[in-house]
Amino acid sequence: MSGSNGGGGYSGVYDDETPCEKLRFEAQISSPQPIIVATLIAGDALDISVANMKGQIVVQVIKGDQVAGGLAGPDATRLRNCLDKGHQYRATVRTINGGQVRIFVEHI
Amino acid sequence: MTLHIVGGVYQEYCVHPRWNEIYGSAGRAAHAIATFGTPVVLHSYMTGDTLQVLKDKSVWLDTSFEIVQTEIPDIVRFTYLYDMAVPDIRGVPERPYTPLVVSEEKVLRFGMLEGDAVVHADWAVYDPQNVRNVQPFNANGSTAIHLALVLNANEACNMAGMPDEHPSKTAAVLAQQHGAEVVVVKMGPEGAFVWTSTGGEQVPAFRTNRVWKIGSGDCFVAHFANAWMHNGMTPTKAAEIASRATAYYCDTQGFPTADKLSKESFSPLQLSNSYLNGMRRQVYLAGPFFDLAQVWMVQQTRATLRNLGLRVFSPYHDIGLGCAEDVVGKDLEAIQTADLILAITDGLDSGTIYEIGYARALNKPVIVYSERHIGESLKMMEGSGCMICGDYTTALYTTLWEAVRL
Repeated sequence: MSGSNGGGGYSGVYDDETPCEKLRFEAQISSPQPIIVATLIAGDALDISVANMKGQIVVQVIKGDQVAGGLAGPDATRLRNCLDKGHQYRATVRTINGGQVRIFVEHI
Repeated sequence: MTLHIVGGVYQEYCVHPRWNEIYGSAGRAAHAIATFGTPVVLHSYMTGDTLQVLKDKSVWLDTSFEIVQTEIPDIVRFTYLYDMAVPDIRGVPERPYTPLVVSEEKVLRFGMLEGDAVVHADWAVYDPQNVRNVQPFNANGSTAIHLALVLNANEACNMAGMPDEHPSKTAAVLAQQHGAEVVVVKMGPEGAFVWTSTGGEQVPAFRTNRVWKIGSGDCFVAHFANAWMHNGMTPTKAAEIASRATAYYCDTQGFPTADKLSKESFSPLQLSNSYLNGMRRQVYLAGPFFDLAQVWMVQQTRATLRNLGLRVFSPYHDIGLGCAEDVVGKDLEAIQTADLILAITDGLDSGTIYEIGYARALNKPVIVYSERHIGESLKMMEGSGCMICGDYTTALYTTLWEAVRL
């Protein structure tokens, strides 16, 4: 669909049937790390990976070899399931405002 | 000392701008307070999936974030077309769940759609939320030695049974009804009125470059509760912190740390004497209405501006369709008498662009809403002092904020 943001229509909620290859969404980074955020500009490419933090498997957003923050929410849950299956994703910085960062996540 | 938060945790989906999150009032307040540095315990009804998402979020916090789950089969879901729209709400059970019970020293309680919370606390803050059958704090047996109510002006009027009355009148009645020692009434561009037994004080609202509305009220209550109950600030100081933190949230869609908020500077909204004396400015709503999408936008915008307390002249509604000699003179006359103009410019309708130029030549403030056109297409507007907004809600609030300063 032209202009689609991959949000899955009006209900907009990803479910387990959403193909990992089509998973793409905009999201806000959780707990953005100020030192890393200060180095970011719109358009920067970031890596997406999983990590074990405090006993939980989490999705993290990486700049170089440093953690810029995390992703947590319904989209991130689906993303983690796809990462577990071997799919790879990248993120692009959309906006930076007041230390908060919005990124666009898409399948590689 | 830990703050306990009890209330709804809901799924929030907004179509445009897109937003897909698990928060709800209590979930958002808990994250806002924890991000600010205060340990929290969140009490709520939630599904297993919801619990997992909240655990995922909590990992990224530097503060203790505990969750007391009362398991339910399905989450309540709010779907918004845009962030000021009335949401479509699904998943509310036909019969409310058994009330939660929270007996702790300091508790922030929100009203809920799916159940209720009985609170026993030394200190409590209660936001009844704009739900059906709003009940006083103690109606379900809740008790608190020190109680603060936080609600908006409409809720205050409804709960006090005093339609269209100023918070300086309704707050004292509500304090009596609820046994509260503090009542905070949110008043839109006028900020918040803070009532205590010694009198009332006003704290300002702050202007932001962008406005994101979903959950802004939750943030205000969260930061008020944290500042008043946890940090021991006066109610007025707590409300001012809450107003600034809410501005940060509306601007960024994120929660500030204490350090971040201390470094942010927002300007208080300017309110003219005319506005404070009851003058309500008239907005000329410029925009095309040649197909359903355009008419829908005009209809929606007119209704929302009126809900914000503005008078609106809409050529579609107030003049109608017609040939040039029927409508153009009336359009231009309406621009002359309007106080400011909101122009919907996506599509670059020639009539709308003409209206903008005409209004600027008369030195009327013009707010331009355009999501698709930047740069060259809007150069004349940008260069002639129009306020350019790329987001719908921001455009509506910018219009309000310009109107109240005239």
